Amino acid sequence: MVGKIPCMSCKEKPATVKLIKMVKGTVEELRLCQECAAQNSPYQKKVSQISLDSILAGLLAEHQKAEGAGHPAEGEDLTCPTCGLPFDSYRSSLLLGCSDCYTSFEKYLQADLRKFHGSIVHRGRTPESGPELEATPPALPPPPSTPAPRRSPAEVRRRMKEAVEAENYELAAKLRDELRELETPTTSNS
Amino acid sequence: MPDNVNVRQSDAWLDRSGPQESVVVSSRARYARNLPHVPFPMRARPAELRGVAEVVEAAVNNTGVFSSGLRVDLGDTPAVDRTYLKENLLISTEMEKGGENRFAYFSPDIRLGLMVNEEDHLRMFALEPGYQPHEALRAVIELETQLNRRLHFAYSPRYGFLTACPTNTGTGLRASVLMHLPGLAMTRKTGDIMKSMPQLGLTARGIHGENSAHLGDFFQVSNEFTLGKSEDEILQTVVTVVEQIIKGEEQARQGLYQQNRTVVEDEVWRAWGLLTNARVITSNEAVQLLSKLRFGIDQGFLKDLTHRELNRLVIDVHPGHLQYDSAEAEDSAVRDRLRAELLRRRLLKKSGEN
Ligand SMILES: [Zn+2]
Ligand SMILES: [Zn+2]
Repeated sequence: MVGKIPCMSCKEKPATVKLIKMVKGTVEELRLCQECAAQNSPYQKKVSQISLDSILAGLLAEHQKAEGAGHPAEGEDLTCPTCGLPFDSYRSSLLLGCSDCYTSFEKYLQADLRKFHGSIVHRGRTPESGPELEATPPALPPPPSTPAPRRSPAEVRRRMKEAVEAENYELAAKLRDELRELETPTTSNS
Repeated sequence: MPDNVNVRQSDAWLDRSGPQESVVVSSRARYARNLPHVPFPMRARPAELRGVAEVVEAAVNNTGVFSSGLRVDLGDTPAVDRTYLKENLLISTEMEKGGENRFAYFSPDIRLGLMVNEEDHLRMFALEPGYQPHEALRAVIELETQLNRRLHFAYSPRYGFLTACPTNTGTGLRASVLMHLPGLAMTRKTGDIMKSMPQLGLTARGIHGENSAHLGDFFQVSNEFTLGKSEDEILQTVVTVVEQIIKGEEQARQGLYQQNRTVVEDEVWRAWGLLTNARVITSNEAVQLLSKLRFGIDQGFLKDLTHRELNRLVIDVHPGHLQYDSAEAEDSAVRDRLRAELLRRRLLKKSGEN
């Protein structure tokens, strides 16, 4: 394994990075530790940058988990009251059961819609309401308004990113917790 | 509406010519729509599906758009007819499977179509030969408007039109252009172009949509996103890229003719040789060779052939089309022989060459 070979430069720390270098037309393979690799390669990011990136990635991954690339909390039995579709079934098939599922699963679907489309705001055509339709009830009740969060997840996420960049990990962790709280489902539709 | 369905009528769209047809086979726009509160087809019970089918049929009859066109009851249509429609690029693989309470409607010129109880309650489309994406969008909007005067569609002011799969939510619009890109393929550029599609918010598929390979260098480019953009913006994204691809294809062909004319000629005439002499031929081989002939038309080889006829042949060599013509063709070895016969008959009749 790479980790057991000592760094070819400092000969102390274990080599964890494999670097391929072109030296006068021949390929040279270097096995270095993080620190030496950072100095050796223009492509390798500085060490401090690497750790920052990985911390940020970790935070964002957690955020995404919370945002639910969309899982309701453990034990929460989420089904659509109109069609009876369990949310898990949507997760595996990507098919919703009825138009009311959009209200029933709104909190989790938003993340998916954003993931698929990069937006969650309709800007296309609106329904035609011809004379024939006026007597009949409207197509779908508007989705119930969710109570406005103190801060939007996007806002918290942005601040969290800034905090990490400023190496203020304490604040970043606090913001992460806030984000978790914001994203945790508090209602059940079953 | 006629009860006796002759799916051959659905060839009508292949008989029309369109602008820029040397590169573009067809332009299509489709809308996905659903009735509110009723379970989507994949989750609906038979009675609910029947209800949807009845409500939609009443609206369809009321618009008159599809009268004297085709009405296909997929639950009551032989498999060979369903496959025929699928190969004509008019119904999806899902609808090809058949099933109770599933219907398809087509206008007499097959410019407009509607599938009922596919993945969504309604999937409607407008289909134009050649490069006419704006016309296709306009036509599908007109059709949707007509139906929406008679039917409520599931809609949320926030998310737009609600579809079974959230990848279609919003406009429910898929604008697509089916292109033939032999020049880019021969100059090995299609790979890069197709790889760049996702970054542009587009998808490239083969001739039969979904996961089919790019057989015969046919590529169908369509928008990936349906929410957050207006219909015009979506179309603009598709059109901008497609027009660049068309330009690229034209340049590639020109370059090939100028620099490698002999090679190109050789490829085309070899394809001709095989197509008009083979005694047994698979549909994959036939489509690949027909692709070369289609490419040869531009430069004045094969004077008596048209792009339209080539499009038609590419479809007619499909297994389901051969089976539609002859029950014998159920056996694939027989089918390969019948295919070779059909190609000789059709190509040699069209041309004095041999
Ligand atoms: Zn070292
Ligand atoms: Zn539902």
